[in-house]
Amino acid sequence: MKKIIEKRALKLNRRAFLSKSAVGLGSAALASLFGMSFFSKNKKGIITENAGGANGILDALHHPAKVKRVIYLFQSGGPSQLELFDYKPLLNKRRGEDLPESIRKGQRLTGMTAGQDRFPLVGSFANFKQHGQHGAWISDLLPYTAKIADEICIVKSMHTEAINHDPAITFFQTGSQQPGRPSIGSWLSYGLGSENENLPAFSVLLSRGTGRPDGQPLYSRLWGNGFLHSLHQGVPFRSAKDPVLYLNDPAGIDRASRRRMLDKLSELNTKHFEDFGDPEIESRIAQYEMAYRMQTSVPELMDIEKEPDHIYKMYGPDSMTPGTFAANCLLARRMAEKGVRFIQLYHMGWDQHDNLPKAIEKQAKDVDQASAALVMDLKQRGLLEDTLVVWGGEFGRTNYSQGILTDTNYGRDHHPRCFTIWLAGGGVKPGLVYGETDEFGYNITKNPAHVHDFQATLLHQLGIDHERLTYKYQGRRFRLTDVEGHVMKDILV
Amino acid sequence: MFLAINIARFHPLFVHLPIGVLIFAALLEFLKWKQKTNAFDATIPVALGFGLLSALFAGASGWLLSTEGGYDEQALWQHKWSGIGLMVLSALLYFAKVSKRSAFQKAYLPLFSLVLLLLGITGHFGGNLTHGSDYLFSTNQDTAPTVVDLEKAAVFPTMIEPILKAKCMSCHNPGKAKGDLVMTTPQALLVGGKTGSLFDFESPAKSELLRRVHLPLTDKKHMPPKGKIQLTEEEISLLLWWIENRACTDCLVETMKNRASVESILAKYQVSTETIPTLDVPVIAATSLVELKAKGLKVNRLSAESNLLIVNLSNQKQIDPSAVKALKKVGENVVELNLANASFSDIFPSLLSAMPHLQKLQVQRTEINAATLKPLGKMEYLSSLNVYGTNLTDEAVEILEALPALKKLYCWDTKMTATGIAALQKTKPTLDINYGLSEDLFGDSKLNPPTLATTARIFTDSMVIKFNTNVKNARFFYTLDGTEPDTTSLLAKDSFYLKKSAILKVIAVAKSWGKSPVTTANFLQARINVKSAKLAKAPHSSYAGKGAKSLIDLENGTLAFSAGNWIGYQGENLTTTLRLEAVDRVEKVFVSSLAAPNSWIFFPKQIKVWTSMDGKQYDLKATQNYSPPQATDQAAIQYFDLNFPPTMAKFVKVKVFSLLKNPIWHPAPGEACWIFVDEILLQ
Repeated sequence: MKKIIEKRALKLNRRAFLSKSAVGLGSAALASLFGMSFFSKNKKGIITENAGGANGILDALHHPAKVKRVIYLFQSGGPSQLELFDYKPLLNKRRGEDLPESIRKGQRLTGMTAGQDRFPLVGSFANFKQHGQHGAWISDLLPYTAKIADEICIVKSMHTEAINHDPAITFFQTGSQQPGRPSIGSWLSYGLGSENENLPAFSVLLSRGTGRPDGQPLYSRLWGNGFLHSLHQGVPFRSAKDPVLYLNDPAGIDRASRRRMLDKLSELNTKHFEDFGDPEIESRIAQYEMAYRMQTSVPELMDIEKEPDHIYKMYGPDSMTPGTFAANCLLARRMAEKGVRFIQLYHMGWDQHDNLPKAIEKQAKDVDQASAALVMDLKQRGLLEDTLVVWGGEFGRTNYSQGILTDTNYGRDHHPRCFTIWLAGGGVKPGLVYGETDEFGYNITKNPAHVHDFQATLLHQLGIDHERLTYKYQGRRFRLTDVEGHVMKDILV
Repeated sequence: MFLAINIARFHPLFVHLPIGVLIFAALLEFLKWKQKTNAFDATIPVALGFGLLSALFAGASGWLLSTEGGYDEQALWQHKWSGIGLMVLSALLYFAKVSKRSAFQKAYLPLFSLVLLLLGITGHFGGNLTHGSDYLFSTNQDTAPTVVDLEKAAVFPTMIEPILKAKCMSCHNPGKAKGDLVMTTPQALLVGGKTGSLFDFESPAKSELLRRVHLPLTDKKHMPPKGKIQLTEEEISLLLWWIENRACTDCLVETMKNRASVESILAKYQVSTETIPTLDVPVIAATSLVELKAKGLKVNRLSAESNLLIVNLSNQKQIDPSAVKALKKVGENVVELNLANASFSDIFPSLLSAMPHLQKLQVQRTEINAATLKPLGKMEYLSSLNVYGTNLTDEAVEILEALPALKKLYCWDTKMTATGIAALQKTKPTLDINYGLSEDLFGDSKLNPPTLATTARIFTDSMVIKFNTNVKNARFFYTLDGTEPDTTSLLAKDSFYLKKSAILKVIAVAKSWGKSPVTTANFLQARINVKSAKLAKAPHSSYAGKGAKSLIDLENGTLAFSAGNWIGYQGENLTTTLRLEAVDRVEKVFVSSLAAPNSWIFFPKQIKVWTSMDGKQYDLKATQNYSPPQATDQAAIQYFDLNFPPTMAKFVKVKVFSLLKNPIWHPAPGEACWIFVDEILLQ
């Protein structure tokens, strides 16, 4: 066998050598990473993905994991912490007064308010009440979240480095403001592999909010694999007739002929791989196989008709309309039951620069009941203890009004210095409110938590040391948390 | 004196020279004897000479250091005199080596043994002096003490004393007592040191103990001194809390005040209930794990270097007998088994019997019964069990009761009864039983109000009204007279014919949801046919619709105002003249208009209506003013109706007055605003 390989290597012609070099020397390393362990020949002599469950790069976890999967309810656009979780009565008292420079401390502004000559403070129009055993302040806009206050850990002291949507979301999802790095889900797929070989380890569900229906779009690179093997990219599920595009066989093609076609194709691709050694060829073979298996597993997953009425009632009436956040939450639970490792939801429309009171009311209604239902549904199924649920956006919103402040109307601009997220589930202290902001809701005064800290914590809960899950690319070992990140031990059990 | 003290401080450094050098000399002597070589003959005397010299240095600096005081007299005496003895002996040793006299040569080896012995003794006494006499034999420096019942834990011995022991007592013990302060007993702590009491109970934060801690690190009064291990934030918080409670040395946690500030720190003393007991299990070789995976099994180590395994067989339809066999072989190592929704429940019992160390077992949504769970009886570590969605009955209660370590049970959606659960809870009061959610969490969830399939609100003869809702098998109940509908109102499966103007109110009703909120819509029947319409001025080119025809085409616009049914003017009023098919009796005019404040579109300020028989002579019939828009207004579509005494007419002229400028509260006040009209109806 060794002889054959050597012979083959000698056969490499000049063109193949050059094209291989163009792929990069990294391909050699990749081939060894994936080539031997990741693929094995089945009886028919076809290379298929190893069916052996966990097939990630990590042989074993760095430490025992608290959770086996993550459901990330990403609230895209930057939900206003001041209307939802961070209760600041001072802002109501000093409504209309200018934000003091002693508080702003030269914070850079977006182009949308940089031209404003004053920054009138504005408090929340929504009322707050204390909920749960620890008396967490939660706004009346989130009645169902308030009901599960004892199940969630509210972190009021998140801060980020970016001030505009795309860099901020990219930062949250990939650890870098510049595009090009792998998303969290891709890192996990790379590190831990899949628990269900019939579904992608990293699944993505999108929904548009009613608060600002024409809000910022999201780029598919947010769930991209970056420089990792393209097997690890997130697979978006749509709400339409074909949940995953191009999955169905065309009319007249049955499953057997599809199988024969794939076998033949695989043979050709394998030959091609042996000639050129490009790991993306293997990736392609594996993806064809995955798609073949998904032809049966996806329809089963998406068939929510059989969910009983009381489950729809839990998630709220919107859950019966495919494509809504509520319906996606229900799907997320079904994916969790099937062993999908990282389930990423995005709910757009939180970017309320103007007309915030009305818009946030609708937007909060979109997500409130379904988010709470997801947590409690996981709990009654015994899945919450090994699932981490995260709810939060990419940054917060300013304590002053964008545009003219009127008696009943105002807007808020982007604010990176403090914002609120919540976590629930395995290994996170339930009922905890962590971190504090000043009376103006502008700066953090206690227990700041950086985006990298959040990412380090997320990996920690999955049994991964964030400093040790790395990938060498262009001469550097990259990791999700770049060169920073501290596990937020205080919020963990 | 200044210089002298500095040399004295080098004592702890110098002492290591004689130790090292003399041991080196001993090593050379040993090699010489062992290898029978003369190679070291020249070196040994040099080593012994240097050893002597450094011993003298160490002794001198030590003497100077001892004059600084602050040491335990007895320990100092022991160290001082053994050191002097060592100096004398090493001098003798050197001379014995270099001497030619046979008497001295004979004494050489015993002397060397004596020197080495004394070296050890002196070093040990020195160590006692700096680190305390119990330093060598005390253990567990790092592991914080833990308690089973936090509330009943004694604060001083559990939380405070360990801090003092680790960070203070090495210098403040009866042996060393720096600054005349001894911290080893509660009494001595209360006495304090040279600068007085350690505590200020009036303002605890200003206590000497904490003041020293908070001094800058460079301050020589800072404690612990620079270079020593410093107190952590948590330790300082604990000390402050303790002083706030008057440095109580016999209090329990529950009797202390101001708990809030240290709650999270205290929690760390609580013994974790989830610690994995160290199990004595066979070692799992990497190769055997690979073999298991090759059989298609999802088997993973708990973590790297652990021999405990997690097995996930969830959602699997079948399992290979050889895989079962292989699994059973490593059964003792398995601590977590996931069989959720697996179809091979017949082999569960044999699988479970092979896994006595299970801590977590998931068998939800499988075909299990009480008999399947029999093997659980032997599982002394099982702490989490998930049986939700199974047909398990109260028969299982007995098995569950017998599980000694069980902490969590998920049994929602089983055949277990409330009585059975209650009995289980009674025998195991600390067991966390999840038996489904309380009804008041999501019980008030309501259907969305139904929607209407069409946006049209105007018709001539009749129109089909179709209802939509996202719930299956819903029924719709409606009224046409403005009264609130209920389940005794008119019933429609999903549509009905409307034949006259009406205020439609409709609800959807579905099984297990009940009634939805009400949807209301106004429908207008246009009785008078309009032949043509003319606009006094062309509308804005972006919102010209189909021209004047748009106003009489019986098609309504929607909030998506650029769609083409709307006629829009910016900064201008709208005037239109309608020509009827024939002379008719007119008594009412409806104007359908749009407001979208964010898009600078507002409802009319005023509408005027004229009628005419000949198209030349118009009589003003009605004028209606409308209240100015508010900042809270949302985008909406509304009919404005004008009533006047019935008049025969062939032509009707309508003038819709715009606000012309954005109101003062608007983000762009004073800018030219829009008026939008999509339909004008006559009755």
